[in-house]
Order: sequence, then C-alpha cells, then structure tokens
Amino acid sequence: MKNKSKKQNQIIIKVNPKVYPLEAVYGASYVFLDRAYIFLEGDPKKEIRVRLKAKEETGKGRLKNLIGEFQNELLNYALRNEISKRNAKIREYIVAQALFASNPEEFKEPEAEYKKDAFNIAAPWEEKYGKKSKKIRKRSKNKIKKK
Amino acid sequence: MITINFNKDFYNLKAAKSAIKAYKNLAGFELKENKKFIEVILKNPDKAFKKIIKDEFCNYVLAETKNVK
Repeated sequence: MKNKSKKQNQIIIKVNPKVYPLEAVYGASYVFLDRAYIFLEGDPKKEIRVRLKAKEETGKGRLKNLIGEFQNELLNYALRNEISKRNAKIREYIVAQALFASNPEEFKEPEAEYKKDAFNIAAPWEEKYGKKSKKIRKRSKNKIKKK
Repeated sequence: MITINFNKDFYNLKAAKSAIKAYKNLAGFELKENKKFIEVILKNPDKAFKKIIKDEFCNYVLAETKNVK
C-alpha cells in the first residue's frame, strides 16, 4: 500500500487488490464517508487508487491520521470479508435451523405419492375381487402341474 | 457546469441514477454512459452548495454503490 499526496487536503492511497479485495475497499470507504470525500479510481484487478479528501481544512498531521485510520479499517474489512466467506456454510445452517425451529410444520416434506397407493395395488386379490372361482383355481393348479 | 466521470469498475449506474434522483432539487443533471465511464454533468448547481455539491454527490454515489452490491 502506497500513499502519495497530490494536492493539499487530499491524498491518494494505492491499494493492492490481491491483498485487500474490492469489498474491503467499499467497506472502509463507507465508514469514512462522514469524515472525508472518497473517490475510487484505477483498475480493480491491478491497483485500486483511493483518493481521500478531507471535508474540512486539515493539517498534514491530521491527514496522516486519517490515512492510518483508513488503512486500519481496510484491514478490518478484509478480515471480516475472509471470515464471512469461511463461515458462510455454518451461518446458513444456523439460520436454517432457527427457521425450522420457529415453524417445523412448514418445512415438513410432503408425503410421497406412492405411499398413498392411489390404484390400490397393495390390496390382496381376494379383498379386491372376492374369492377365486372353481374354474380359476383348476386352471392355476393345471399350470403348476405342467411346470 | 461540472463534469464527473465515474469508473464503471467501481461505480454502479443504478447508484448514479439514485443519486441524481436525490440531488435533483440542487442542480440540473445529465447522464451519459460509455464503455468505461458513467458521465454525470451538473448544470446550474445551487449557489449555496456549489463548492461541495460535486464531492457530496460522489460520496452519495459511492454509498449507493456499496448498498447495491
């Protein structure tokens, strides 16, 4: 990270996007919106240039403090971003558990269609059509004998 | 007349439009877009805010961009 002062009351901070992702730059910039005017320039893949312009006339000392604070915030957001990426799955799991606990019936799986036995396949023959007639019984016996 | 160029890699068109909507009472706006930049032209800005309107507008666009993303 390099700093280069251009004009009075403003400074350019050069940020390496490989170390500090763009999300971290946005986060840190957002925190500083009330203290400074912030302009993002450069190339998000090679080098991000953050131009900080103090809202009020300030001396070099205060400007330096502002830079230091901005860099700290940058680090803070970079770490936050990294942790958030690492914990994404467990966070989703916790939220899902909480939602499930609040209303478990909403998350019940619908009963499988085959369990309903719409065509009454599971019912035995006798139950469906009554007992076998004598003719049918004879035929089935003959078949068994032939085999 | 003040011209501001927002790099599209960092700033969002939606955010720029939203900022224009918020600042429409303080100046006249013209929005142009090319491959790399969003160009916003401020015309006849309110005299009371002439000095800071550009910087404040840029901050607003940045904040909106962060919120959109």
